[in-house]
Amino acid sequence: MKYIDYYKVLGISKSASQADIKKAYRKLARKYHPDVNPNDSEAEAKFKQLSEAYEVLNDPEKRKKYDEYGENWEHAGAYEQARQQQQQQGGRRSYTYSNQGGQSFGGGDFSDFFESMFGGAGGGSAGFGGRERSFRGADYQAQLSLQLTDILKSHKRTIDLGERKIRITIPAGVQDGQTIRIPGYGAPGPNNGPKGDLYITFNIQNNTQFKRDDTDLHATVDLPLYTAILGGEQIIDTLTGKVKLTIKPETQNGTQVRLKGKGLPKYKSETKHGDLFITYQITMPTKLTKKEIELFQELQKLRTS
Amino acid sequence: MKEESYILIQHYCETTSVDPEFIEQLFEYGLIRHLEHGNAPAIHQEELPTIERMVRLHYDLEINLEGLQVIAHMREKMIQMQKEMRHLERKLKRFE
Repeated sequence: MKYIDYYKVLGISKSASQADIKKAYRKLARKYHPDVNPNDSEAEAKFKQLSEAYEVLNDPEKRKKYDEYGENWEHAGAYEQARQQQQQQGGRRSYTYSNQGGQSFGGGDFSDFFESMFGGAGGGSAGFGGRERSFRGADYQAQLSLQLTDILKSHKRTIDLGERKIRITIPAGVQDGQTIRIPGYGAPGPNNGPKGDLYITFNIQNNTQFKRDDTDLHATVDLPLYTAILGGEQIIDTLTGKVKLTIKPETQNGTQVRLKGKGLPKYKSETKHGDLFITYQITMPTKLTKKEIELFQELQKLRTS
Repeated sequence: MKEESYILIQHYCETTSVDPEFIEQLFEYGLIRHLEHGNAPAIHQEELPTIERMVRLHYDLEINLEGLQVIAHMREKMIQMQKEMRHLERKLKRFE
């Protein structure tokens, strides 16, 4: 089995910094990567060598072992054993690792030399590189409780995420249970991968008398019998203030009127609004006086005659 | 059975931990075809190897989107040239 000079493979000196190693690997990998050299077995073989060298030199522990054992890596087995025995006996000494080597574990896609020294295919050897790909960090999930009246206009709000605070825009017209994604505010990605996202689910509490149906609102308004029969005016509440409605004579119970644009703002089209639907519920007078009963009887006669 | 050849971006990204925004950018740069399944963005199954390649080049080699575009074009040309070369080699052998 042949000793492989990983420094030579990457074209760097033994004193190269981690940044130098990464730079050298990236430069050569771009040249020999199988994805940019289709059907080129030579480039593929070269890329495998590069990946193996990078796998070792980019990992401080592996690099240390590789540097310490050097070309005499084959004699390491006995040394490792001796070292373990020393430790078991309580001996605490500093050792020089030169002239020592590793154990053979076999397996993997790298050279026999690599497998012999580091065992298997090393951490994260997958695909072409034998190198761990950086992945996106995990996504965070958060809940935000709001009142219905909080979503009439888009506004900024600070959210405490524990480790940090972020200021987000609460979009007008957001739905109960709706989730928005804030990219890059999740957990950091392994191997310098991009950060995950933050998902905020809105919990909208209805603090009004209105029933919500998407952007439309519904409400029932009590209408006195006499206003319903004779017509008149009725002041009703909307989300944006009071409105005076004209009641037509002979308005029936359950009549619905639509107040255009008095509903909730449309999500992502804040200037557009839903409607407010008012259903009239006619209230019957109670505790009638004798006189009132007589008059109703008279009215009844007029109707039946 | 047509649906089977489509993969929803959301599913792909969940399975592979690839940032959905990266896939969006691949669409924008015309590196993969944008499909919609229902209202959800999707990719054609045949394009999986292309996406995998883009992911490797981008994340492993830190090649930006512009670089990916150049590579995609050159790679295509290279494969075409390799085909032609093999064809010519075979032709040439007949005369040897």
